[in-house]
Amino acid sequence: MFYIRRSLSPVTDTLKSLGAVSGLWLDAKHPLREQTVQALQVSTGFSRRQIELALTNCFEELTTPKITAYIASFEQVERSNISILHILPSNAFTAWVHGATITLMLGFRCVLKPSRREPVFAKAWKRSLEQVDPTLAQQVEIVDSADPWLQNSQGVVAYGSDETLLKIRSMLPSTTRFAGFGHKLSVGIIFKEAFDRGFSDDLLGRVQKDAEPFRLQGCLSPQILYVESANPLRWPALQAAVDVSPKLKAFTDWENLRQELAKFSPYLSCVGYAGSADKEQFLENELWDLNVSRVCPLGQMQRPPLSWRNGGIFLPDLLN
Amino acid sequence: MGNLELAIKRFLRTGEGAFDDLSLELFQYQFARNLPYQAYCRSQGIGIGDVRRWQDIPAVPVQAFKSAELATFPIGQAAAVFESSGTTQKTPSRHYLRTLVYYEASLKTSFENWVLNMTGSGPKNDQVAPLGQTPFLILTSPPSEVPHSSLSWMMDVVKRRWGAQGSQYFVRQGRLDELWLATMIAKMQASGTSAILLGTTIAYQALFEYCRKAGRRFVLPIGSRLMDTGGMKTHKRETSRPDFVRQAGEFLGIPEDHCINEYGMCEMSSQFYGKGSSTHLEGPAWVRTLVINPSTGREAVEGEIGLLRHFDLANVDSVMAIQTEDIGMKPSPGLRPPTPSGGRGAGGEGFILIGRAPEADVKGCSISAEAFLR
Repeated sequence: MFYIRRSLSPVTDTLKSLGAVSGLWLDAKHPLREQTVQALQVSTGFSRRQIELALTNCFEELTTPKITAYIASFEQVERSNISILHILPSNAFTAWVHGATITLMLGFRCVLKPSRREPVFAKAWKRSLEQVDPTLAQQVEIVDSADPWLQNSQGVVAYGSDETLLKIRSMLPSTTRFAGFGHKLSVGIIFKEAFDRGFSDDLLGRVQKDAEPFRLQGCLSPQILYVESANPLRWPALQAAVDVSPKLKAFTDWENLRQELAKFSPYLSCVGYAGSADKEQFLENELWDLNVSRVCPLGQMQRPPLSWRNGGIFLPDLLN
Repeated sequence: MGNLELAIKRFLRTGEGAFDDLSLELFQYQFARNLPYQAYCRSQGIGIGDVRRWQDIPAVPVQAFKSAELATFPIGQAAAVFESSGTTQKTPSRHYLRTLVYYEASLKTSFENWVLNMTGSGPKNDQVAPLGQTPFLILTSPPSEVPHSSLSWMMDVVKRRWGAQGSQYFVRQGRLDELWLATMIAKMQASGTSAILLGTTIAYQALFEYCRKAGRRFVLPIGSRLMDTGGMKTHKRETSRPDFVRQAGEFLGIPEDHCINEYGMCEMSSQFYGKGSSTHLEGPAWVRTLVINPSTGREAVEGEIGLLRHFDLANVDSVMAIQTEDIGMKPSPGLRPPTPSGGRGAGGEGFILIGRAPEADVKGCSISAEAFLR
């Protein structure tokens, strides 16, 4: 059971403010977004298009109606000064925003420790909050060092390698709630019914949406595309369309493919698919014990909804 | 810009200049005209008047050159574009140069000190190569084949300036012609003509491998020397520095103190040099390097390993401060070279180059599928 702490302002205001922040980031002409895209090109080395896709994927899942739907069943309680520390990833620069949004919706203070490699987006996000709702923005603090906060936060949400996460966890008091999001691997599967006449433009567009953000370095990026085909495959159009192309592997036998995917467990995160509608249920049934936390159509892999249990973790439960 | 430009040009040509003042002036110039850089600085809450010391000038991560147009001028007016040679991604780093004046001035001064005079930061000695009489055997592609390679451009500049007749390139279509190169080396040996070999560490390794397999050994005439570059950046066939210079002696007869190592990158207009089997590299007087602790973002303490951050005044029209993914450390006081004289090479005490950061290629939250599929 979890609650939303009753804010000094009504929770609906928080919700509207976070929705408005998303609106700002989805407005291609907004000056803050424009300046941030430029700065992110410097900090990440990603192209403008890659950055814009990542922003769109992130904030289209954080609109007011979507946040409203997500929190519909939450019970409201009062806001407190309890802090949740978020230790942010580097190049996957939007990966932490869902967690920060949930933290604010729960009424907690949100302490963000940006990566040294990507110091831009956290500050820009806070600035967008200041423009929309200065009171709510006071609930967000950006810090240079995580050290003092490791001892004084009720919860810690961290992104990094397994080694880094272990190190962080070892520094926490035993009572501190901890959510560690380690490095993961995602794949795509193209079933024969989606491939009967070869790689279509539609398929290309969907794979491009998944592969392009973060230059295939995100935990939701499909590193391998398995295609149900008896013959070896080439897809020059994909290689031409993206900066770094997923590997293509043909498969004919599902059991063999399942065994290969089992090698990736427990690091398997998202499986995107192209095929008939019943494939989603099929994959969920077949892969549930391989730690797959999400099955979705290709083209949606980089757009996890707020309700996504990344790594099986349900953040509202954990933080409360 | 007029006075700043003149002062930097003078600095590059003579080694005389006030680094601290010029770096701050150059930062202001770049902040005002290089809009992506300005956006990056502003995103960190840093304005044009906020920087008081060169150490505080915001450094752009080296990968920024992959995407952002880091130039103080319209890039359509670039006199040259230097690109990185990475093969794993389609997008190379791009360094736009409004003019090649700074690049060439920086290159010539350092190359003359380190490769021709072999004095590094010290005074001239008697090992000066007979200029204009020494052929350059170049183990890279010619600029006509790789017009955006800063290394090939560098070779072209020094070949035109100092290479004797017979200087030539031995890499064609990306492949080293070992047989042709060995034939030329044999000719030099027979005629008693010293040679200067210039190239990538990988190309030398291919040459050494050829010599080993063909059972060939050369002893190049006294005064011959070798300059290699890029050695620490390759993952394949990585050779330790002592092993590399040992092979240079074994297969080419070039003594250790005539082996010069160069470290450069397409994002910088200046280079660093070292001698022999040492991994201690020095930059010219107009370059400073900090070793940064990646955990704190602050300067590493002496003896601590960190990431190299370079400040290059010759990067006039892009960004002078660059945060690399290369790992190094400051040398301990006992290993530092004597105080430079003659105003040349006063680029601090240099650094020990250790290699690339292990996560330099993969910085996202994905893990490599290959790790499981091997």
